[in-house]
Amino acid sequence: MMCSRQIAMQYSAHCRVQRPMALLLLAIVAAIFMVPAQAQQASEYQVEAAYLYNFGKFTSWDDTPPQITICVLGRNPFDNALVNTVRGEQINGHAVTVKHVFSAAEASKCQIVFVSDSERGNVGTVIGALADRPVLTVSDMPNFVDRGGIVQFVQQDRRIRFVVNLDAAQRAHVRLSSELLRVASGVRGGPK
Amino acid sequence: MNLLRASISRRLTLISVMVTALALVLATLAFSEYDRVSSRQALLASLSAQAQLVGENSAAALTFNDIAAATTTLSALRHSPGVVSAGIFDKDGKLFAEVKGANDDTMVRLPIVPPGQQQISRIAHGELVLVRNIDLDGKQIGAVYIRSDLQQLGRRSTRYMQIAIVVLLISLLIAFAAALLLQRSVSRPIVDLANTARQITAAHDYSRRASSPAATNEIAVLVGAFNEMLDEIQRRDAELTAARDELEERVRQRTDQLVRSNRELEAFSYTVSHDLRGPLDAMGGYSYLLLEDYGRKLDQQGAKALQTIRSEAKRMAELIDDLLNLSRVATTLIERRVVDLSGVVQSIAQRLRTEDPSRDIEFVIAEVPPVDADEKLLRIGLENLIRNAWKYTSKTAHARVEFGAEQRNGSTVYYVKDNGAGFDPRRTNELFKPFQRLHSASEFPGTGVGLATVQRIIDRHNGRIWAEGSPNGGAVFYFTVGAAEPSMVKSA
Repeated sequence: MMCSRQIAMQYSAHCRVQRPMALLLLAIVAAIFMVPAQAQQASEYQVEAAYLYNFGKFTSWDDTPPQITICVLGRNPFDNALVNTVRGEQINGHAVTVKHVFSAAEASKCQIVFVSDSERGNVGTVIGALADRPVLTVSDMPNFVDRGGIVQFVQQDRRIRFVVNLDAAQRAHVRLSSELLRVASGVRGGPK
Repeated sequence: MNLLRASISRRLTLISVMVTALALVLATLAFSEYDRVSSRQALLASLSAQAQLVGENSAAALTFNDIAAATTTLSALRHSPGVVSAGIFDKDGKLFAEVKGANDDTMVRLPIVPPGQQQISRIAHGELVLVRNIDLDGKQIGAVYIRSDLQQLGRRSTRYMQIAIVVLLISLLIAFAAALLLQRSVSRPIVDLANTARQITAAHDYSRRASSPAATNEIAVLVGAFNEMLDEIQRRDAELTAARDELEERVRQRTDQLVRSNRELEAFSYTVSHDLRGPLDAMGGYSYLLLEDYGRKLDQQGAKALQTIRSEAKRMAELIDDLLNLSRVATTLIERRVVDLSGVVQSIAQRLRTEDPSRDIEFVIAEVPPVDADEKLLRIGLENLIRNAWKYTSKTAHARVEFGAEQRNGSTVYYVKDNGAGFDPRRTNELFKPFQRLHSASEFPGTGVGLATVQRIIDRHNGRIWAEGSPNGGAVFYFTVGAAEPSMVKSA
């Protein structure tokens, strides 16, 4: 929207858009939201792709390589969403790349690994292989954090939130910022 | 203006208090302005810091779309004094989270942060609105705004002004008291000086001196100069008095000398005149005897010579009498009394008529105001004047002699007027000199001493005498009688 491009300057109600223009914009927005459910699914992965990238900003590794690699292990559910998200972006001055990997060994060289739902079968092996590596493991499969994953996407009130396993993060020597923990919908482990 | 008429001490006090008040008011204004500006800056800095804190704490919430966390972060601001409302916008400019009072539904137009800046603030409608960008990893992900009312600042400046007014009043009171005390050191010597000057002027007492102030400043210089001036005045006064005394003494000596020599001269002339009378009387007597006893034996020529001797001796006797009169007039002591001049003139006219009843002459004698004078002397003077008129009208048919008085310039001028022979006006000033005659003795007999005598009499009365006339046009003699001198050196 035109007003919203200039950030946060006014309540949206105050948006000074001329009436015909507003109607036109309304029509376009309506058209976007009337896409089929599949499209909605895609939009969900878009959010997750953005989150994946943003996790990098609230995470620090012991030896951060010059390039931060975000890997997708297994079938890629993001299509181009993840690649589009990180294109040209940086995390704390580090370049970001996306890589599609197919084994835990490959994944252990990444900084952030999204374990696809397709790996549900051997998730235990994957987690075991990456447990003491400085890799932030993320997945949207159920019980991921219960089984030793670090971050798990959950649906809450039709919004995508996430749960954090602090013990797993500590074991992997991945430090998550307190802010990230604060906005997490749930934190497992940690100092007791 | 009142200030200009006020005494110096009051003026000094007033000036001090006014200057103090001015300085205090200016200082108060400056400080309150400084306080207003600096407290606004402090508020702005505080809000800016809070906005930054909120921004940093809500970066994750914004990133991961956690409205609850953002709201919690914002809620902390609610306890910040003065904060009315606060909110967070996402990077699309949509309101993400907001906290505000329950009844607060004011719509505020927020300022837009210009590109390249982190925050902007605006003061309007008693509110300070601050908008600050929220950055994450160098990229703007949203913005936070905080609205804070300025009532606190207003209350603060009101209290500040109240305190300032109280302090001002107290300071003025103290300044007034201090000025009252301090101005004395300046004004008292001046007031003392003024009082001394006033006393000196009133009493003409130049022996007084202004008291010197303790301090050695301009006032001391002024007092010193004033006293020196008084010294000078006194010195000159003394010199003047001495000079005057000396002058008076000299005048007295000269006057004494003059009086003495005058008296000697008069005594001499009296003696001479008197001693001349003896041989003259003898000449008169013997020439009479000669005429009686041997007149018939003389021929006509001898008898005429004898007659001439007799008449010349008589003339000489008259001359000596007049001279004696003149010296007597000059030396007699004047005894003033109220004199009726008309009466005097009347008696003189009476006697003249008796002496020569054949004369065709009219006397017109007016009533004149009485005069304070020596009657004997004035009688001699008037007799001379009337006799003159009588004499010089002897050849006039319908002779007329007038006596009267008129007022000129506030003084009484007496006159004796006749329609006789008159005189040449060019020779007026010779009239009153002794032995000067304007007519020959054969025309009108006389010695030429009469008018000189009259002038001496009028002189001795501090009066003035003058005459007007023309040949054959008659003559008028005017005279005045002056007031007696208070006390002059009395000639015995």
